[in-house]
Amino acid sequence: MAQSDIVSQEVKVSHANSTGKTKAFFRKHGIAYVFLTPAVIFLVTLLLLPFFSIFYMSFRSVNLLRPELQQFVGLDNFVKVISDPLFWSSLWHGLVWTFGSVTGEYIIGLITAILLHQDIKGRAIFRGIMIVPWVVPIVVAAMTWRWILNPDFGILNLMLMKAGLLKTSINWLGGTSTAMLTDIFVNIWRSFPMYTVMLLAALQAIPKEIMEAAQIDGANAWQRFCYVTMPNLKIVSVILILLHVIWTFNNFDFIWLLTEAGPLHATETFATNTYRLAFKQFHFDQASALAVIMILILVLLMGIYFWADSKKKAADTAA
Amino acid sequence: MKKRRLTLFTAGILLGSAILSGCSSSKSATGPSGNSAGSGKSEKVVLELWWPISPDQPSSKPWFDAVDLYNKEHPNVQIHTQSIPYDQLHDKLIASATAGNLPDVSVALNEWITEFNKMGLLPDLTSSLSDWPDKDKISKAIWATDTIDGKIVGMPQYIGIRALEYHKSMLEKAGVQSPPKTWDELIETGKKLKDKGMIAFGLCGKSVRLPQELVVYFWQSGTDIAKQMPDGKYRNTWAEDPEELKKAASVFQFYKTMLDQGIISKDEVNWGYTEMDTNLAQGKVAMAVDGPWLQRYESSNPDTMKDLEIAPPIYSKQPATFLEVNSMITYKKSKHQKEAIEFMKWWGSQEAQQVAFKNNSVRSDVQDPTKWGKNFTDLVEQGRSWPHVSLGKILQSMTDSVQMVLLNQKSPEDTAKWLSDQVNNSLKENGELSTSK
Repeated sequence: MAQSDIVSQEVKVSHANSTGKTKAFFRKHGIAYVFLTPAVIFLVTLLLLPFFSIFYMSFRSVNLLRPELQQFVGLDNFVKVISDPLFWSSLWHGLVWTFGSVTGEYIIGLITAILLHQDIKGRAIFRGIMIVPWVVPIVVAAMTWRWILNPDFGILNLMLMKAGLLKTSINWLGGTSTAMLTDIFVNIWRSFPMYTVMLLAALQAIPKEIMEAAQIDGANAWQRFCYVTMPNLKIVSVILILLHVIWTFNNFDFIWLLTEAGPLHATETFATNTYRLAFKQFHFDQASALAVIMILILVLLMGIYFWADSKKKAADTAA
Repeated sequence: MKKRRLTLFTAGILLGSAILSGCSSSKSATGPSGNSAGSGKSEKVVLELWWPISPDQPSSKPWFDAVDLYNKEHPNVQIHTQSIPYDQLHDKLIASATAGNLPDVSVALNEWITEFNKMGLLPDLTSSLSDWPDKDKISKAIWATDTIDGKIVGMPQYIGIRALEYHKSMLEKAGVQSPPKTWDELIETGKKLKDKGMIAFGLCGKSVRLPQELVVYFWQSGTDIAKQMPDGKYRNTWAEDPEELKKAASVFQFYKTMLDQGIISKDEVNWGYTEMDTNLAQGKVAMAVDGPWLQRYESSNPDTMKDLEIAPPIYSKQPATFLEVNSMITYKKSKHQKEAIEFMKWWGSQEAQQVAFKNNSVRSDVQDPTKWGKNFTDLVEQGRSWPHVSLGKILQSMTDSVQMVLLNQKSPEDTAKWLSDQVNNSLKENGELSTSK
């Protein structure tokens, strides 16, 4: 038998084997693919298609009021969006809103998780109450806070004035200097319970022996917190913070319901500006360009984080 | 093996059915645009109607009664309503227009009509309405709001005219016997009320009502946010004409004076229409230019609403008020446009208007003799509405301009110049800016 015949036969055998393996694979897992198909179809239709259409529209002229002008315009939409004076203020507000909210949520979530981790009476009740803000629908929470903060009827101003802390009521949501801080405060109030629940679960998973060993070794409460508790909360914290940075940066409803991005755009973020461009001004092209920029900023932030994390890991391994 | 194939086959069938049922239109039930219920010879046309009327509100009952009456009188047509609040309705109509699944009929604010027409969504109803015998029962001023470039594109259904609503007893406490007629009189009356510790005047510092209030003050001063030019397009002329700029600046000066003199509360910059209506109904503010819908507050505030009276709106140079015309519109792509137009005609008939819009009918032969009807409809002749330009960005700029004066203390003249630029930029972006002299 010639060498080429042997090779050809080996290829055939290998091909037959691989075909057989493929058949066996699909015989075994075919049903899984069938049942996965609807989810994949919905995912493609409801997420991927709109996602790609945003990229597509960001390079075209799509003004619903001028349908005759639809054409490829290159980077024009990006230039228009970036040269708008609202762009930089929206970016700044978005960063303040995101990092202010996430920092506040994490600190309060951590404190409440540690408190609820203590062996105190009525712990189950406190844990139940703690979750209430998070389960309240956003629209209900926002409307309730609007009334609480109202300068004419709101209970907050009334309480502060009765306590002698204020002489006259403050228009919390209506002042350019207070609106963003108030939005952040209300957002922290609503979102911190999720941190509490997740961090509490992580705290409960820390073996008691480690704490006891640290205590025997002479570590005080602060040292135990810094060198035992926090390192054990790292994975949960990273996931929580990453998810919340994305959710908060993209958040539209809370700001819109509380301040409608005002007064005088003092709480305008990319999310509210995108909505305004698309649904109030019908510039779907510029709205898409802004949405693409939002995606790029988030990807950049995530990229920086993972790059820094991998550098740190490499340094730790080397050490 | 057979069992496995059977399982796969069954799963495939189930998947296929699910996809087909998900993708199929709901024409046999209540899907948008062109549905039919039942089958056979007596096929019923189902008209999909999107409106902001909630079945939970007692005040909505007359609307639903009118629809029920229509369904009863027209056995071959079924009106299927979908309740969507105003803000969402606008956004949903835009989204549906891009997706091509608009309803057969919807309610529309006057601000939306020009936009929808520019998007090419609205059919020309002029010929369909030319032989409608009731056409003259609706005044020309009202028809004008639904007429663009000589074409009728909507059917007016009710009006919301603004008047000065005031608490007589509060004015009397300050020694004022009659309501102010002009801006200057308002300032004088306001000072007296302020001295007695009352908030004299209510206005909206945000929400859709702010631009509606602001534009009326421009009209009263003899100017407009956009003037139609000889080429048929529009332009704001404040920056090029010092006289016009002076008129526009006087409006912002009026806002500034009211704030500086304490005629309005500094918190009013945060008032939307809900806050303003509530404060007026509860007697926390003595006067406001508001609409007849305040009647709804009478049941919940019987004591504080007892002394509320209606007078013509204050003005500076010439009387003017905001004529809000709410309309029914149909769409070019409706598969049942003929039935939709017939329904809209019926909706404008005396029979329907008497059921649904006793207080605020567009018809001259449906009048409410009480203060909530007649006192407002008497003002129709001085009523004006928006120029037929795309208002999206302009409305936002108008809101910003008032907030600049109230919050940032920007000078009235600079604010007017800024607003002029914003209006012309918006007109330019939308191809509506006139270049003619």
